Amino acid sequence: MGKRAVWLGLVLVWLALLAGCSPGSVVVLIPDPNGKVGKLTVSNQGGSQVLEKSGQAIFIRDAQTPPEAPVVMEQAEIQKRFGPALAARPSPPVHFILYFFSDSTKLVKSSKALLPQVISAIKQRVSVDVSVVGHCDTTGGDIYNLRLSQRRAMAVAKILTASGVDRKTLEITSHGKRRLLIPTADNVREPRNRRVEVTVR
Amino acid sequence: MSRAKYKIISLGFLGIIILLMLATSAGAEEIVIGSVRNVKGAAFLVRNKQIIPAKPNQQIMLNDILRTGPDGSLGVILRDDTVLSLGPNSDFSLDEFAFSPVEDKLSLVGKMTRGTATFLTGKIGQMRPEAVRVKTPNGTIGVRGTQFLVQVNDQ
Repeated sequence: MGKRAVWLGLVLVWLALLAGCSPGSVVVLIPDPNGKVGKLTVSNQGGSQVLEKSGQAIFIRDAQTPPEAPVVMEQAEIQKRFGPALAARPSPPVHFILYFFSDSTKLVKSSKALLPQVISAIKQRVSVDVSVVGHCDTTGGDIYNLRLSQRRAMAVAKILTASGVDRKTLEITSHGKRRLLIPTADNVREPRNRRVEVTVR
Repeated sequence: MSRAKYKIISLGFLGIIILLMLATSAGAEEIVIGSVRNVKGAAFLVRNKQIIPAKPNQQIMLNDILRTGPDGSLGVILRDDTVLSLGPNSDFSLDEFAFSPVEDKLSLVGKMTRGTATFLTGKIGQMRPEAVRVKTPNGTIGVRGTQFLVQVNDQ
C-alpha cells in the first residue's frame, strides 16, 4: 500500500513537471516595422502548417507530432513570453545613396552635401559594420563598369576613412551595371544608377 | 612504381590535404557576418568553443553561437540587414550565412535550441526567400518574410 502510494506520487510529480516545462516550440508571426505581415511555413516529420496573419501562433509539441493549427496569440501573451527579446531589438540599419557624375568618381553636389550625415550616422551608432557598394548605369561594357563601380566605392571609402572611420569596419564591394536601381535597357544613361549605396548597421 | 616512391607521393598528398584544411579553417574564422548592437546582463558569443562576453559594436563571425544567461538579452544585425534578438536563457547558432549577390551565394540557416528570439528578415530573405530557414528541435521554419518570434522550451 505504502509503496503503491509512493509510486503514484512519483508519477503525479512527473506529470506535473511535464506540464510545467511544456516542451516544444512556439512560432508567432508579427508585422515588420512598416506594418507588413509576411508568411511562414512550419514543418517537421509529422507535417506542416502555414502562418500568414498577424499575431498567428503555431505550437509544435515534438519533432514527430504534426504542428498544431494556427491560433491567434493575444498581445499580452506575446509580451509575457517575448518581452525581453522584443526590448533587445536593435534599431534597423540606416541606408544612404550617393550619386556620381557620368563616367566619374566625382560625387554630385547634393550627395556631397549628404556626406556629413553618413559620417555622423556611423559615429553615432558606433557602427563596426558598414557596407559601401558601387554601381553604374548601363553605358559601356561590363568589365569597364565593374572597374568604375569599384573606383566609386573606393572613393567613398577614402572619404569615410579620412573622416576617422576605421577601414576594418568597411565592407567594400562593387556590382558594375548588374544591379540597377532604375531598370533600363543596355547603353542607357541614367543618373540614378550611377551610385554608391552605404548601409550603416 | 617502387614502394618508396609510392610512400613519398602519398605523404605529399597527405601534406596537401592538411594544408588545404588549415587554409579553409583559418579562412572561416575571418568571415564577418554582422555585429552586436544591444547587450543586457549575461550575453555571450561562443566562438570555437570559447565563450566570449558580448559587447556592443563587436563583430560577429561565421559559425558564432549567440548565447544569453538568466538575466541576459542580446540584439544583433547581420550583414544582409537581418535583425535578430534574444531574450534570457537562449541559444541561437548561425549554421550557414552567405551573402554575396555577385557570386550568387545567398543563404541563412539558424538554429534555435532554447529560449526566445525575434527575427526580422533582411536582404537574403528579399532576394531568395527559400534560402532562409530557422530550425528548432521540433521543426523547421521556412521564412517568406518578414518578422516573427520563436520560443523553444527546454527539452
